[in-house]
Amino acid sequence: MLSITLNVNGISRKVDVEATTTLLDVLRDRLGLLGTKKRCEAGDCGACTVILDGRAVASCLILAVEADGRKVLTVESLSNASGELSPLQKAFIDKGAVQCGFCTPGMLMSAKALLDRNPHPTEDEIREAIAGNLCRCTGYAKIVEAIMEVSRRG
Amino acid sequence: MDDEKILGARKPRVDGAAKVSGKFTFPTDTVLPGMLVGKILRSPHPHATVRDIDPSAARAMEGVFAVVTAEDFPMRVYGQDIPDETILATHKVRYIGDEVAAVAAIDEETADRALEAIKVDYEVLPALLDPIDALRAAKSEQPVLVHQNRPDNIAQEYHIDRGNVVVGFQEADYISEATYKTPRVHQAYMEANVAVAHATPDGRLTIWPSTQWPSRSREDIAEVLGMDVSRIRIIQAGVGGGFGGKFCPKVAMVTALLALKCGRPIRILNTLSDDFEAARPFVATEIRAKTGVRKDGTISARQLWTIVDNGPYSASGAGCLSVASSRGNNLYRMQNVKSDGLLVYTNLVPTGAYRGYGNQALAFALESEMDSIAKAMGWDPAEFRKKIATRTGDVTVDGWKIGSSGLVECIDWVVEASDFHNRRPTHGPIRYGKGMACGTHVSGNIVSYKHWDGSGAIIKVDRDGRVHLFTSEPDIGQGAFTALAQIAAEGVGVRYEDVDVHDNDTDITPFGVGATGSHITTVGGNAVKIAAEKARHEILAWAGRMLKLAPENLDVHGGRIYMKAQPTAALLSVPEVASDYFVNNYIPLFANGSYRTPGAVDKATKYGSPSPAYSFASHVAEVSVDMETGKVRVLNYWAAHDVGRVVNEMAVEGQVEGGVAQGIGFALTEEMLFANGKVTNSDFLDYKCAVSTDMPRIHTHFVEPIDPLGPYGAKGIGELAFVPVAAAIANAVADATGIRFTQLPITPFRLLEAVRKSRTR
Repeated sequence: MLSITLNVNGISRKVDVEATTTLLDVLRDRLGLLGTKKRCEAGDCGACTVILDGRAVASCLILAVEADGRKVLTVESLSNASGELSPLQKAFIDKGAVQCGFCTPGMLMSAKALLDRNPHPTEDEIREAIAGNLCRCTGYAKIVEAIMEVSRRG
Repeated sequence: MDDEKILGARKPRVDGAAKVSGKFTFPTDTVLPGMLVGKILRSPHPHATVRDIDPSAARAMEGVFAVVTAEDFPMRVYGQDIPDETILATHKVRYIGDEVAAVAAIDEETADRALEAIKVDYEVLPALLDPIDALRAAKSEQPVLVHQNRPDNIAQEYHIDRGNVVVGFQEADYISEATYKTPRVHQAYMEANVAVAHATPDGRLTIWPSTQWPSRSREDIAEVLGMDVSRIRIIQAGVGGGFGGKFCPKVAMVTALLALKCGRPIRILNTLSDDFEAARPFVATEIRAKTGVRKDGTISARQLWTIVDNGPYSASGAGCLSVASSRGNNLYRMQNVKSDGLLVYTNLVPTGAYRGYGNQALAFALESEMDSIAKAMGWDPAEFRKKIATRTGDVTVDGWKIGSSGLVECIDWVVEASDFHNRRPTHGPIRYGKGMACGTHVSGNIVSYKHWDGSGAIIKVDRDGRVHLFTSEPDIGQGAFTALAQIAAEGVGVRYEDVDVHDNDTDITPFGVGATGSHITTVGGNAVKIAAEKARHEILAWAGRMLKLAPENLDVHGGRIYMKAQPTAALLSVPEVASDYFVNNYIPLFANGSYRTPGAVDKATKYGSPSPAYSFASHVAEVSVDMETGKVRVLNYWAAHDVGRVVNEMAVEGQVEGGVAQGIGFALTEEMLFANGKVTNSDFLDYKCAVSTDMPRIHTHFVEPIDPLGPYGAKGIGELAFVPVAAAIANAVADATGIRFTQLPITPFRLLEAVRKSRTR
């Protein structure tokens, strides 16, 4: 067991992990942050996307020890302390970007990472930024529209 | 008032806030204290006799709580339509992945070691990896049979013969004939198949599965376990996508066996490769289609020969055979139809349904044929279709009674919007083309499950006026709860925001057919409408009592109760009435509703109207084809749908856009590949679904004939959105290249091969 400290959604968390434990498993199984979804476990679907030191990453491909001392943001960080939704989350609801919702947390984190570094992306830049996030329900149309809407308003 | 408009409004999903905040509990998020890890031992052989299973070493391991094999429980034979499956393999395994045994252990690692410790002695048998081989093998001198009691390797046959095709083909001025193939494809739902189960000392078994039909799951599981239905409780949170791939109760059943054996909460969670290799992907099809047309543009005869590769177990195979052998014949007017189909047992991954239940495969064949015919006859493909389109009031060749059809209007819209008759000029190696395809689908198909083709709904108006809806129709992401909440709000006379929809719980919620046959809006919706209107009636009766006014002079809208003669002057609110009702009766106001699909289909002839309503669509795809790389891109897409009255415009648009994305995958990239019976691309890197950068701009449009039997005139959308897409793309590719593709997907390799062949010719 290795002892690591993660800064998750602004709170320092000490956890003991195996060398092989992924960041995804720490978030879901150890810290109870079930918003981050687990599907392909190979970095192909994007359902487990979180933001690590400002970059969107597939948390299934990151070992927990690699994240030691670093800042992790999950979908749970998007609403404020009183539960009020962020403009990005609201846009996803209002534009119909959510169907089954299983890709939604990862999709939101990819979108947030994009908007944080490029507040006014083009449609192509948005499509590129979420190209690693698989969605089987929406055809991506309303997801792109929701992100565009935030960029317009922001 | 406009802000009170409920039906047709772009209402946000009822579960939107939970889903964007990461707080929504999916079946894969269900965690119980002390929950064990369940794992399944799968067959490594496509076909083998199981001579012996020795689980003793696994059972003796520390941290192992249960090991189950077919010896531990009576193995009843079950099946969705054809009984040919047991929970665990008895005597024989029939595909790579077949369930042989299962373990319950303290953690993943222990469960994996326990699986390795189970000794299975197999005697390998010849494997049938192709339906044609399977049909031949049954007739050979030493027959190879997937099931000993199925001497032809045929799970089911399908035959219809209407009018007279012999005469029809004699009358034809032109006959088109070709054979079309679609591969096994996967629904590729985002959330894994999973089940949590807990058998408690009171004799009850509670299961949290991921299923498209919770009500039926309870019935099926009770039957196969030999338990009373009331001992089983199914609790179903929203599911992370299904698309026809989550009917099979196998994971829940194996989890139940382990739960009964170890008495502790336990979960089996499929990996992605489990889902590819052992859940139920969509059947592979081969359809030979022959169509005769007269010079006047009418169809004189249609004949189909369909072979459906079922795999060894028939989950949704019978339904897929039936739909792939007939459905598209109801899209146009014709009298002479003959169809012969076979559902064939093989030793590849067993199959299931997928958004359209075979309609998408038949649409690929028939809508490709429509374009081939139009080209040969020099007809405009849109005008050809329009002339013979099924219209309101028609009774189709299979006996469908068409209460409403907006097919002609759909064709008109896509022609106009897509500028269908004009093309971009060729640019270097890039050629451009446009292609049309149409479709029709049931909206509430008879399933004849124990003769239960209906749905129930319960409305509870709580003391504070909130409306609680209890339905057993599941939300698998498609927006069922949102549409039903809108129908409930409209029926009761409250705001959409005043309605809560409860998760399926068989202890509380009534029966629902489930997310199949595009049922929920029509059948589930009618049940909700009936319950809601009864609640409205009760509310007005109680309000009349409170106001000392005749209830028939009162009405309610947006939660405000008023005299019909003076709609702007609210006399009471629903919360006031609900509160008064509660304190006088000590119960909230309850109302029930139920609805059954009307009509019947004759068992022998398959003639009849299987659905209360039928939806129609016309699509146009614009593609570019790079003749040097073989790459096809979909540049623009137009989709017009007749869904009857639109319940939620944003949600139906979303259904269409998602259907187009899955259709692009079906047309161009998706195909399960096998080597010696084993799936070789059971991951999202090698099994290519459409991603954001593959998608064109999708232009949607809805025509809204008010259907006489749909709730408030509404019809279903889910499956039909996907049905015409691959055909429209194949027709656009044919338009661009002059090459007719008869096999999906149209990969760069297949395209370049076809270009090379056409040049050498």
